[in-house]
Amino acid sequence: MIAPARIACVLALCLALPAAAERAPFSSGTARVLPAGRVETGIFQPTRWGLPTKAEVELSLHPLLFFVMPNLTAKIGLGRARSLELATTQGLVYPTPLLRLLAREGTGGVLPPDAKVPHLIAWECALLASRRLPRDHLVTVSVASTLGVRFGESDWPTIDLPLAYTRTAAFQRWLSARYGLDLDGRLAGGLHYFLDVDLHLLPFARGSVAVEHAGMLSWRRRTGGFAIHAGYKLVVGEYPFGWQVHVLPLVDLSWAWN
Amino acid sequence: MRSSVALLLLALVAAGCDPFHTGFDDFEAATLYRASRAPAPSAALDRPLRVMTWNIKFGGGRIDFIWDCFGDRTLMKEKEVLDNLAALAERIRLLDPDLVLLQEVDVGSKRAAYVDQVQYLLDHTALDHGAYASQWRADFIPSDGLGRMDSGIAILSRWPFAAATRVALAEVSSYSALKRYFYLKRAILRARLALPRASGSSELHVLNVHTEAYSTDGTKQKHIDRFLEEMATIDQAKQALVGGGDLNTIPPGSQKQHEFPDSVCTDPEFIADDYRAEARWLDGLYGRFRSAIPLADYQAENARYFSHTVDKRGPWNRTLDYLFTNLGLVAGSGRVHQDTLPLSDHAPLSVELVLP
Repeated sequence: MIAPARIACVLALCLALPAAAERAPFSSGTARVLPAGRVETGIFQPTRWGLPTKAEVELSLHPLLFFVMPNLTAKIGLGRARSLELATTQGLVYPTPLLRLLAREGTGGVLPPDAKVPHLIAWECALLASRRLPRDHLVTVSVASTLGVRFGESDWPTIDLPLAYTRTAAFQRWLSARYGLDLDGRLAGGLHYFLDVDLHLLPFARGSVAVEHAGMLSWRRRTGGFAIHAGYKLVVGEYPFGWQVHVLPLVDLSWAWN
Repeated sequence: MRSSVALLLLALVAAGCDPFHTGFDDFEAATLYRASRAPAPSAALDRPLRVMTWNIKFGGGRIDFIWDCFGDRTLMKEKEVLDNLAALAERIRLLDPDLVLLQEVDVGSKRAAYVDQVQYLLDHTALDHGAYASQWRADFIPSDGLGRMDSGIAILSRWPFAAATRVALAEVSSYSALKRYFYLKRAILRARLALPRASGSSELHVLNVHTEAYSTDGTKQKHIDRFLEEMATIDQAKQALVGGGDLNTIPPGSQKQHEFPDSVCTDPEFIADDYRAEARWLDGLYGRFRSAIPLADYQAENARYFSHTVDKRGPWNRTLDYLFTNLGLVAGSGRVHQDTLPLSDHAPLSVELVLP
């Protein structure tokens, strides 16, 4: 049962109205929106597109996953409040085909072949606030919530993997929440850093807390058309069987076009 | 500061090399357990020692799993596991052993609803102490929906262990690197304990093993040979020992050696019913040690000592489970408890040993 207060909280996060905000390249995870017409994509990152409209809107989707997990997210600039830049993201995902694909016998069987995966739709919304710090640094705080709705018989186990567990919790247990703190900036020349900490709360799951921390260095071409990223992700999470710690490598390449 | 950063980076790289934590060292301390209740007072042992071995199929009872090729199940519900464990514990209580060698015991596997089966069996039998060595450990196995796995071998005992070590066995070399990474890494669990006697205490070594079942590259034979080597080393030092487990091969002189009716798997990797090339693999163990079921008894009547069948309807059709010792046997005490067909795909084997 979902408490009315939780529903009200989710709705409050998602009802912000679009307004002017700052646009900036390579601004994933911040309150900044991509410049109009700019497209950024990566191997593992979603493809993002700054809409060429007056409103500050950016659309993103995971192209590799799209055909097995249709997804679309909009980031909408909300303008400034004092020295904070504000934005909201609204995303919809339909994970059913991917989960059914993963319910198989043999290698690749993340879920057992007899798993019953219903039609699922998840709605993620987030509020982001970024503030510029001296010397090209930017700090961002975020609050996000995912609401999962299912249609039909559901009998499939949790995916007890770092990252996947928290991101699929709402598909099974209605709701998950995330609170984030990000710091990024330029170190020297084209070298940039990114640090973040996310707290995941899964109020109805058997393992209900996870903390994720990422540290990453990026080198960006001066023209802004290409970047290479490398770093790590530390995941300390509670699963149905107890706590686990994982350190995962992060590597990605990204390209951009104006 | 710089060295701290270097150490941190090294730790991150090391963790990244085994991201699912599937690896083991050649020798590792076994995980020790105690029953949740207060231990029973240690009375002097003035009777034969009762020893038992049982492959308990991770508390799966007679559920037909995908890997048996009889069914489509991968994961069990918690109630199924607890019901099956209750039946196993009841049978152990009935036989009242001093030592139990367990194979295929799960301590935190998704397939067994994350139930710690060593702890459960200690808490529901008269045995107070346990030693566990994992044989299959992974934070997540992306195959058949297995997920998290921690399955292995254990020794349960009335008395505390003085030492317990996991001794790594050879891995199957013919598998791809990816399969080897997630596949079982078998081991011998080697333990030592002091038995309380009227005259003080006497030391006993206990070895438990579950050898490879499916390999076609000689890995099973390597496991059996290494088990014999470990047993012989202790025997040479004139130390008392008992060792056994699921050796996944049949005794010399078995009348039926291939084409067992319960072998329904068609994947050549999972066919384990042709033992014709293994006829002499246990000669070393039978030649050097006393078997709970003397070879002559077995050869006179194979079926009485069969301890395995995949088919839940039975009958038992081959012997895979053994106990060997350099101690004396109470004549006729070796017994395969074939009335346990609903509890596991293996029957327990028990014997009484005469202490010097």
